[in-house]
Amino acid sequence: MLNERGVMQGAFILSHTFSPPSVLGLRLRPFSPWHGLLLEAAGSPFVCGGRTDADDLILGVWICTKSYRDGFRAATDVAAARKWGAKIKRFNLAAELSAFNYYLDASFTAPEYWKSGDGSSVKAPYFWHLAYFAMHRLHLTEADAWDYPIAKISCYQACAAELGGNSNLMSADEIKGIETLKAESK
Amino acid sequence: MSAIAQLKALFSIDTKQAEAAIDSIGNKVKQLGSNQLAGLKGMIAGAFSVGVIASFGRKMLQTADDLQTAANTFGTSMQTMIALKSVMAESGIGAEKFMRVFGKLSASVSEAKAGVKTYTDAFAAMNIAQEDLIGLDVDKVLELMAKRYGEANDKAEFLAATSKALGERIGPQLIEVFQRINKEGLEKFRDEAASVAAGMSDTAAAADAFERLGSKVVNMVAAVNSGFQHLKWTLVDVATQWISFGEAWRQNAVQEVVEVSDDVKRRAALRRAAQRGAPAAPEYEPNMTDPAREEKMRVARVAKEQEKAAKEKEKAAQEKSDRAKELFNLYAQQNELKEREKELLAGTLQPGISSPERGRVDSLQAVGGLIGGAGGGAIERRAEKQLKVTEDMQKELQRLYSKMDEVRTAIAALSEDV
Repeated sequence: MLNERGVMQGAFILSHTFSPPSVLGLRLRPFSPWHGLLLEAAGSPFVCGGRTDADDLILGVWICTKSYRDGFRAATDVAAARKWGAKIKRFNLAAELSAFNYYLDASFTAPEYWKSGDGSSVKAPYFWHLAYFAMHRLHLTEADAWDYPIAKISCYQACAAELGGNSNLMSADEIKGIETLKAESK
Repeated sequence: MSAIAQLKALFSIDTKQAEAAIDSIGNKVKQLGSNQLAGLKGMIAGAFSVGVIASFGRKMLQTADDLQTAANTFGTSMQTMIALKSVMAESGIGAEKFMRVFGKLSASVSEAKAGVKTYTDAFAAMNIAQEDLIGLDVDKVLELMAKRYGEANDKAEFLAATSKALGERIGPQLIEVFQRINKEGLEKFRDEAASVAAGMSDTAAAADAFERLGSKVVNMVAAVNSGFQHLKWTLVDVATQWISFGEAWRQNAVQEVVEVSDDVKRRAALRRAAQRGAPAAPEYEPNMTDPAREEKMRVARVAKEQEKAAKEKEKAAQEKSDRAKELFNLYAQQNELKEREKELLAGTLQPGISSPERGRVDSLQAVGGLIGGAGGGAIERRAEKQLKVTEDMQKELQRLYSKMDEVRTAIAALSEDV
């Protein structure tokens, strides 16, 4: 819904309209807390930061095609990974990497907030918090929560925060204004 | 354990070892601080790369096998096939199209050699006489076409003729092929292909073996030849040590592929440079003296006559065989007619679809009809019908005899020839 602060942030519509691409011949699933948890545990630079290589891309794509319902074993199915490799005829690493980065950027697009400085850091993993929110506030089953797109969870979190009295959510105009100021200061 | 044995073991057993390793990771993560699933990257990327390499190996075997089959079919060598494939590839003609064009050219040359007008005309328009084709393999014909193209005043007409000979329009690409052959000579490509040909022949043999045994492709790739040592070791490394995809690929096979690729690029650049200011291409056709040319033409004439005589003989034999078959059929027909004649004369067969009056009623009903006086005028009707039946039978017999006469005449006529 529009309000006096202008149009809504792009994250609120992108979370519904974004369709994950195919990378290395596999159709990716919407990025979920399950994907984030496994990639973080594997030290993937896509989640933890750092330089990426072909192996990181392969693991990232592989994990992002699996669901929580498939289980940990599916994400570690080396025989299936071998079959996947056998189907690849030729690929452009740079192009595939770019497609995967685009997928991650879109998946991690979340509503933006003004920094209040009164936030407290959490010690439980971020992706566990997302799954917990999906179960606790959205009343999803455990499996559904772990497979739910993080982009949508982030938007629901923004709504919940605002309803809970948090007024730090930025409007689209404010985001645009910040960008304009940044551009002028360069 | 040898490398090949390791590979065989890997591809024949299931992935229990890997699964055990993953279970171990999954169970021990609680003891670790970060990157608990660090081993997962190498395993998945390693398995992926085994698949990629196995697929690459399968494709390599298929290519080698296709080339060997084509070489056998067209009666040329693997070396020539590779050389021609290189020329075509550098001119933008892919492997599939190359095989198709080469196949059509081979067929057209055979037809032209046999004197089929469409093709002799097409080659004549390229200034290639029928006798020029005698004794030339297809690759030599292609060279000759390139030479004639270089000499042709009307290039468009020449290309139209090639379209007729090849059955498809590949004009601009073929021009490039001709120019390349004229500038550099096919021999140069043959020389370059020499070192590859031996390895490819071995690989093709391996592909045959693979087909026969239905075995694991990687075993055959690993066993093929020294040209693929690097690939073999990459397979072993990736498959047995779960080293990373990028790691193994960089260390061994990819490096090899990159080097080959760069070499091809260098060669292509040199050729382009040479084309810009190269001296005239050497003549393909050896200088032929007049007596030699006359002898060649005489041999061509004799060959053509012999071929013509053989064809006529074959045609005559076929005709005789056809007549014998026809005679056999006529005898069979005659027998059938005789059988029908016997049946008609015996009265066991009623003509047409009419059935006897009594045929539709049982004996008791018939008697009932007679006793009950139901047959008012029935006797007359029956007599009338019997008369009609007799007339029909006579007509049928007449038709039969007429047909038998025709068959007899045909048999007599054919018997004289056979």
